[in-house]
Amino acid sequence: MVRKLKIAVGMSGGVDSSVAAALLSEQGHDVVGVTLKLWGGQSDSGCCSVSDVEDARFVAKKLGIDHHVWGFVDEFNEHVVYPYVDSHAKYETPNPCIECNRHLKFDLMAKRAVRLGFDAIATGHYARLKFDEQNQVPVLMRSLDTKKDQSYVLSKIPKETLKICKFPLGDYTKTEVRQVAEKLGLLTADKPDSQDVCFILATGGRREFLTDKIKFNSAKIVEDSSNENLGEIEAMELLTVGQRRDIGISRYGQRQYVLSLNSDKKEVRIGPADKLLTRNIYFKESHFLLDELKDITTIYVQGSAHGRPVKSTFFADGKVVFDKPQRKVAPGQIIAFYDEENSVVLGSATVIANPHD
Amino acid sequence: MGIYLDHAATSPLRPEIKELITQLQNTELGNASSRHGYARVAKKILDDAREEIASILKVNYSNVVFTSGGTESDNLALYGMVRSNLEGSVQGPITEIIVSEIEHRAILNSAAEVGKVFNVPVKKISVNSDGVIAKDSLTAVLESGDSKTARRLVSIMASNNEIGSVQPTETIYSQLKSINENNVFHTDAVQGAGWLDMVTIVKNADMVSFSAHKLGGPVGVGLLIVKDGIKLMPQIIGGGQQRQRRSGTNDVISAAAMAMALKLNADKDLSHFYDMKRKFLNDIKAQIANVRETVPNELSVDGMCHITVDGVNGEELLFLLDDNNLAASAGSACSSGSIAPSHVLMAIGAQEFGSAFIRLSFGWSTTQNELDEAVLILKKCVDKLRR
Repeated sequence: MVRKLKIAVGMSGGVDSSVAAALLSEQGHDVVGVTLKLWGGQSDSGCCSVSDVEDARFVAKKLGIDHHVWGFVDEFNEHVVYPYVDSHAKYETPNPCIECNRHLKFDLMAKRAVRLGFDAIATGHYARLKFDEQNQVPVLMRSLDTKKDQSYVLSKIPKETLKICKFPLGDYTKTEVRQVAEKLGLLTADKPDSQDVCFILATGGRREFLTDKIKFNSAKIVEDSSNENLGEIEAMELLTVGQRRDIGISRYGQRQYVLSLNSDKKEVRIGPADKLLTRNIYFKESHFLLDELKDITTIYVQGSAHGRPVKSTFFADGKVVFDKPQRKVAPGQIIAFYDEENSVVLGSATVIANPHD
Repeated sequence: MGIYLDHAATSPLRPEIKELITQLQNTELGNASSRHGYARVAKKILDDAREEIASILKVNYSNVVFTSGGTESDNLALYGMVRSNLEGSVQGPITEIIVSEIEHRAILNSAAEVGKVFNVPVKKISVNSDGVIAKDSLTAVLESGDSKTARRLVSIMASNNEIGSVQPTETIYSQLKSINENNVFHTDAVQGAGWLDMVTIVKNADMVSFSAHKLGGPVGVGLLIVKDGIKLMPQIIGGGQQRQRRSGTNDVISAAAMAMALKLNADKDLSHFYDMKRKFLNDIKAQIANVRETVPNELSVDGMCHITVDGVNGEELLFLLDDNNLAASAGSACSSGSIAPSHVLMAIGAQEFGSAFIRLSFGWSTTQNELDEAVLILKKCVDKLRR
């Protein structure tokens, strides 16, 4: 018999967290649904619109559990929105969802839950947790369904919080989750996955959101091999290393990509896809979920939510070296470190520009 | 159950009113506007209600307009008044709407909307840190422009719904009329009705909003008292019921319930709440450190305690109070259900980060034992969060 826990389940109003709450409730736990109100401005959908809060409430009603809304609007601005804006001003490509997990869901919400007498928090992320008996620590792992695995977006969460986390969907596939939702008659059963940043509107995009918050700088576009100046781009802050769209240039029948952004020279270097390949990724702010990685350790590195893990060597002074050349990861993005053989998340770090670029 | 200290949000249905509603629901009632026996039964209930309300508030029965609640009454007062600009009146058009910055959203938002639709400027007057309208602020607005020809529609609440601060409506009314007798004064007495002298409030206003459910009546019925000489255009158009001021089949059962709620309230002796509130606040302050009244006790109605608890989060405190079966509230709930920053607390400069703002409001069912118990629960929850 599993010990009955009092669990606060973060319910976004989507199918995954609905099913997470349902599963824990079925297991006999005392489950309370919690929807975070994070963004105070306009939203298409994402995490905190009125309709998502209502969906979560109706699901909770169906499951016969209480539902609460916890507001962290100021804290969301402080930890997610303002850093997102600052990061763009520094020509980086931030990942606000990871910051939200790190600061809001798995820190502020977790701490509040503990203060209010909950034993655990849970979310609908596709990831697993196992307890390492030998070292007496919880270990974050990829979900069984590797296609849906979301351990990457959890790679920055505080190590301490893992001790009170539950990820009930870790052993499920998305199809199974939808089946459970359908079986239980949850209104979220066929709700599409949320894709975008909750505080960015589809209509205006990043440009509109950032317009009154930062000054856009124009920059020269320079072809990397020839050093030829190909014209100007108006808002360098909106570019991302690796991006092809919106730079409007194709040369010699080859697609051109952003290779680097030089803020001092206000210069964007572009070139064909093969020029994007690199072996070295430099990083800052490394974060470890288990022991700190030792210098020169073989690990796997994943550079995006659904990216392919790449065998690499970790250098403690702030570099990973891929065994084989890979596409660059944009500064500001997160790289997650894995023990791939055991599907274990070791930690993560934030990518910085190659100092030699 | 638990201890219910959220009467300002809604007061539980009084048993007498529940009985009346049940009895009327078992009566065969026609449409009060029809012409037969069933209709006459309904019409009599409606007229009795109107007459009773008029007698309690010392107005004419024709001054009583039933609505669906406080929000509709507020909307009708502002919209109906300014809408008459299009018809023309001997007193001239409304040239400006003036509201206090701590009005209920039903006034603030409808004033903004009405102002936008009819192109009438809206001015907000400020309150001091006690949550009371600063006389200078009102005088400055009233005396600006050509105060003799400007016809102002002023809406100031009798007492505030969040912090309980009582507004000097009597003074405001006489000031307003002395400047220009064609100025119009509306007061939202939805929150104050249970605690202030309703006759005085009604005497010193051209229009007054009331709501039944704050007085132990049912949700879904309210009143707008409209004095003689006030030309009000309808917001809800239809069969022309209620002297063309509010169409729709008369809800006679609700009207009767409204009348009974006002009656029970007018008859009851509330003087014991004066001492109960003071004891409650003193006990709280004696038992819990760093707690204070958000606005001075003597400036707010006896039915409401608004306290500031330092070092704890409002949502967390409410959660624990709820867990301990004590119903209270904090700020006003926004559409998504989280606690929105309160425009009232911001207006009085009390919205500090890191403090909980808790409203504990009393009503007909509140007992001394409940208040004693509530102090202990509050202490337990604050202690837990401060640990």
